[in-house]
Amino acid sequence: MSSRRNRVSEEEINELISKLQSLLPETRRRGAGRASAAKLLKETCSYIRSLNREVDDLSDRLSALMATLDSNSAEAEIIRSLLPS
Amino acid sequence: MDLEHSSISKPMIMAFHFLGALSHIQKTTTHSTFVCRCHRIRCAAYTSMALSTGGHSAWSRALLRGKLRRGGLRKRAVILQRPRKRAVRLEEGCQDGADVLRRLVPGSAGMDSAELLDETADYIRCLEEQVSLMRSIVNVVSSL
Repeated sequence: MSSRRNRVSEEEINELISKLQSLLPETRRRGAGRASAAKLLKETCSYIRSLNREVDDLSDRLSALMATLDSNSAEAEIIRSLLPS
Repeated sequence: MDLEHSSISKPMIMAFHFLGALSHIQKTTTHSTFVCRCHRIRCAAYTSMALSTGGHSAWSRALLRGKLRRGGLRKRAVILQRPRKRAVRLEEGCQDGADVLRRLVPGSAGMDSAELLDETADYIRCLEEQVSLMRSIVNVVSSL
């Protein structure tokens, strides 16, 4: 009876492992065949951290771009005020 | 209106919220510091991610709860209960990895392995969409 339970568990574990593998992009799927669950978890964590860093980095760039947009519109405002209406 | 049958896709909802937030941020941060604006953009990114899933996942509810805590909103969204499967435990060496994952994915602290991986999958997919959206915006704006 316990062996049957172990078999079911193993199938579920394999399913979870293949699910983990499908989450990672191609470049991060190291090695042929089935990597260990522990390694996959580590890789997944590192991938999430890198995605968070990308969001931070893109926020920085957007913030810088918005600053230049602001100054552009301020200049546009000045120019508009100088022109005869 | 049922979100499942809506013709509006998730990325569009995300873009709608994020662009709206960016427009608001631009109007209200003309005299703010770079760091302040940056922080607001980052918050807007995670909020629009959470809103785009329509509250179907625990991580999105956790993110929005954190955002709304200040406003004192106590109303709970209707939570779709998934049928509880028997808790699956990963092999011995994975516990540390699973714990780190639980810290990275919001709202996943009390979950068993199966739920955790479902949440992680959803979270990663949304993060990728958000990153792709932000990249497109940066490309468009920098070419103006």
